Amino acid sequence: MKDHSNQPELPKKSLAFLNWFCPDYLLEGILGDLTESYSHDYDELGKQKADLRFTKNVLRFFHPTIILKNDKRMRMLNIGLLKSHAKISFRHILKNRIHSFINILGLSISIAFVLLVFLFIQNEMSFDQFHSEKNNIYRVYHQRINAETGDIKDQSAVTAIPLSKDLKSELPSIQSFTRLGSAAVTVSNNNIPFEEKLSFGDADFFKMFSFPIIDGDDNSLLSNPNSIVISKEKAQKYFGNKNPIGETLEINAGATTLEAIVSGVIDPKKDMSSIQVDMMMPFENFEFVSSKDMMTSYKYGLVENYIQTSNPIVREEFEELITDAIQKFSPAKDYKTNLAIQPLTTLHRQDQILGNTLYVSPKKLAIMLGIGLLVLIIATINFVTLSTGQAIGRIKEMGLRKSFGAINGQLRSQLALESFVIVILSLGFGLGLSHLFHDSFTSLTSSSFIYNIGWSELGFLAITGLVIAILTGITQAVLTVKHKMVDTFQGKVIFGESRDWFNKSLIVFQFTLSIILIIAAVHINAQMAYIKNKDLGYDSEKLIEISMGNPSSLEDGKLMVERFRTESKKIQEVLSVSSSMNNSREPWTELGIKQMDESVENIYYNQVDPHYIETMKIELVHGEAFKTSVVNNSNSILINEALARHFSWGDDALSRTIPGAGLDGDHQIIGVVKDYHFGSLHHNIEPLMIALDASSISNGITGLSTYVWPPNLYHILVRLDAGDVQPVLEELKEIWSRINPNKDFVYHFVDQSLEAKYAEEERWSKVINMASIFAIGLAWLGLFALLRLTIKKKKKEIGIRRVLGSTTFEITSLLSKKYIWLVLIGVIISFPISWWIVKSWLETFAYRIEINPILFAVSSAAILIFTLVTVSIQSINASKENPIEALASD
Amino acid sequence: MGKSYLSEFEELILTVVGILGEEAYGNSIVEEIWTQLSRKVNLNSVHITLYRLEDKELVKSHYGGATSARGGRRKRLFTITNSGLKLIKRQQEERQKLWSLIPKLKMILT
Repeated sequence: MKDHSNQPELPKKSLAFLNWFCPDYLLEGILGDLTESYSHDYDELGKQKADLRFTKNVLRFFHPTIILKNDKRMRMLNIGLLKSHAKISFRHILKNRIHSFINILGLSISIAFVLLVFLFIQNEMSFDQFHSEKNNIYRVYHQRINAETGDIKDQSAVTAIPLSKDLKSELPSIQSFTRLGSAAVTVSNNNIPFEEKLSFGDADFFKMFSFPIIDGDDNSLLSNPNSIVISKEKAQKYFGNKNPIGETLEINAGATTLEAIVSGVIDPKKDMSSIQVDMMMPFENFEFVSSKDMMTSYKYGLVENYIQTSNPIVREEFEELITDAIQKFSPAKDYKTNLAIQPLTTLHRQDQILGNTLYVSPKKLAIMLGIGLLVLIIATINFVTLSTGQAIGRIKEMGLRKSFGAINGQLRSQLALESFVIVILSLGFGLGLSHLFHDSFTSLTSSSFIYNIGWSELGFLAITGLVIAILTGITQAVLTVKHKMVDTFQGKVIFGESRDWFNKSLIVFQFTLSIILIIAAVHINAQMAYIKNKDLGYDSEKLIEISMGNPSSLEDGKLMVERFRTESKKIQEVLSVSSSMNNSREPWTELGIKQMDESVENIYYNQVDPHYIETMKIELVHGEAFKTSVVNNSNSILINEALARHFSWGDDALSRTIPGAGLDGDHQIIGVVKDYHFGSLHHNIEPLMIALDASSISNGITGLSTYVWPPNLYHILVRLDAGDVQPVLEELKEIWSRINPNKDFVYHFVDQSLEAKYAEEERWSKVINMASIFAIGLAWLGLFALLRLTIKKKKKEIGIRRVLGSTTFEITSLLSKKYIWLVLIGVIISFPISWWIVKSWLETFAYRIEINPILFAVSSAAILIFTLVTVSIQSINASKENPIEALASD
Repeated sequence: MGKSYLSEFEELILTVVGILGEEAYGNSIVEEIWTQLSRKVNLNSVHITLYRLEDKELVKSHYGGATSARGGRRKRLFTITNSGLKLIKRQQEERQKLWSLIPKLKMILT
């Protein structure tokens, strides 16, 4: 009867499926019938068709009438057993408090962190997405391309004023355009002056961009030259609860004073818009903060140009189209530009082509995501190793259950439920923690996202939890359940090969991550310290910059400085007073000077007064500085060493002149200053000219990429003596308001401005430091708990060794050996990876530290010592116990 | 048990179980319907109907008669119960009664 060896074999998968859903008491009859027709088909139609029919039939049997028969027999979903599982899970969690605590702590903090990262990234992704026309709006940028090599020389989204206007008149496919410029102005209402950022936009600005209009007529927001649109925050600031529409603001821009009439109030949506609008006036007013010729010139990059197309376009074709169209206005021989466009929707998440709008470096998003995942991975690994470790400890329980008739599936679901309970608890705690950490997280990342848990966030949490639970459940179910009952009683499986290998690689992985994190964090800190202490080439301490606003003319500016100097010199603590065109916070004026061969040399330019070198404490290498006692020649200029190097001048720089097609050699280089850092330490020191007057070189200027123009004195520099600063500031303020009664006293300490420049790096190094400490702590906790488990299991072995005369030291070294190996493997794997990571990060700095092998060694040694100490403490504790107790424990 | 009714398919299966006597199981029922009525039915619907009939206590089942063609598995053999027999009998009579009430119609052959 049992002889069916010559039977064709049934398709396995369909068979397994049938086995799974079909209740046992029906299975024999159904399968028998199916087999009968299968062998019939097999003989008649051959294997392939028979297989197909069999599968089809099995699928047909997957029918509610049959599936629901399961319910009565409690196998598919056994409610009673589930209850018992749940009970045992909770008992188990409570019984192993330390491990459960480590698991839940690690998981919930990581989940909180990952959730915050998710919110952060979601917020960054949501930038600029609220504009209803977003898919048709583009920002135009220019690229200067080296005609010979094809390299992009520079690219910028700060472009010439007439650009988009001319493009619209040329191309019918452009539906509307707007320029976006801005300037610092003084705004006063009731004679109280405030320094504000005023933006300038064309009439279509609020039609292209969907900033919600709270008050005012949608169609005529910017139609009147005098109208001004303000954000609701500014409306509150200037008018309180009064209706601002029709009210007047007095605006001082350069030499002009404008009476602006509020025409609308908008919600600037600052937490989700790259374009940050506080106040906006019609673009024609931009003339007052620049100059008349700039409004029509292609020489100067001053504003951002946005266009809206009437139909969807193909980017490459359109870029060619606009590049061709613009040649008419900006002939190639003067300023060879390639025009290209950036979709509005992607402006925010790139850091290659920049305008004046907010952006986030995609690298940073990647770092955040990486750190989040890293922490989650470490916590999950802890969870996996600890729970499998524990499950191994419970192998007898499993054996007992099996011998009482539990099937593998039941044991698996028991284990899965346990990890599930822990994950659910961690999700709950994690959600709570994320709320607690939200504030510190936003300030650390200088992001302002709102803590708002909606369906997508909950879905994200659910998926995260599910992935962790499934990963853990699968691993432990596979590793623990598949043992024979008898083996479990004899303790044969405890040191199973495969499990050991698996756990070891997880531990090595954790060591590797920890070492990489330490090495990276140490290098980042070292680099930040280096930047902070780097000799800038001038003295940034006790140096104050006072913003002068926009003097109407150079004469005006000079006069203002002179008056301020005379007055403030009377204060004892004021050592010297000077003034400068550029300041320590913003990029400096960069001139393009066309050469005889049509190529363009880029040279930075700063206009100062004769006291500049002395006040800044800049060193002079050759020649002499401007004279403060007698009148200087207006054609005298100073250069920095970088400029002399750039033109390969030796020591005879003083006899040279700056080359340029339009430069007639009228200027005279009277001195060379030592290179000082006027830009960011991310970049090398570039060639720089310092002059009292731009007239001797103005003919040579063929291009310009900056906001700081025309040449004038915009900032007063005050060098203070050591001592209390506050009273001096009060006096300076008093002098300022005496000279300029209707101008705000706005000042900065130069050293603080510089710090602000690197605040971004500081913040990121803080984020990375904290994440590293947390991740390493987590990994260590996991190791600690795992060791406890291992040693618990080896209690007997230790007891026997003690009885036979082993010393504590011998036992410790025996137990440590394995972990030393694991650390060493981690070290070997982590070195090349961390070297690469550190190297690529350091390369973003022009001035950087070398990668330090000692730091590598120290980081690895730290981990090794950490591990050894942990192992030692645990094994000393274990070996101190009375061996008799250990031996009697079973 | 109150007055219950069977669907056409249920009645068919119940009748065939009655016909086959001691040899009624999934495949034999499918075959019998094919040989008697040239009607093709699916094995799964036969099974499902049998279980439903069993729940209504119109048929009962027991295992028996394993063959090598079945991979050594026994057949689930169905036999009609008394209430099952009563029910088809009653349904048959009711139908006869209704049939006799139809005025003598000639089937129109086209």
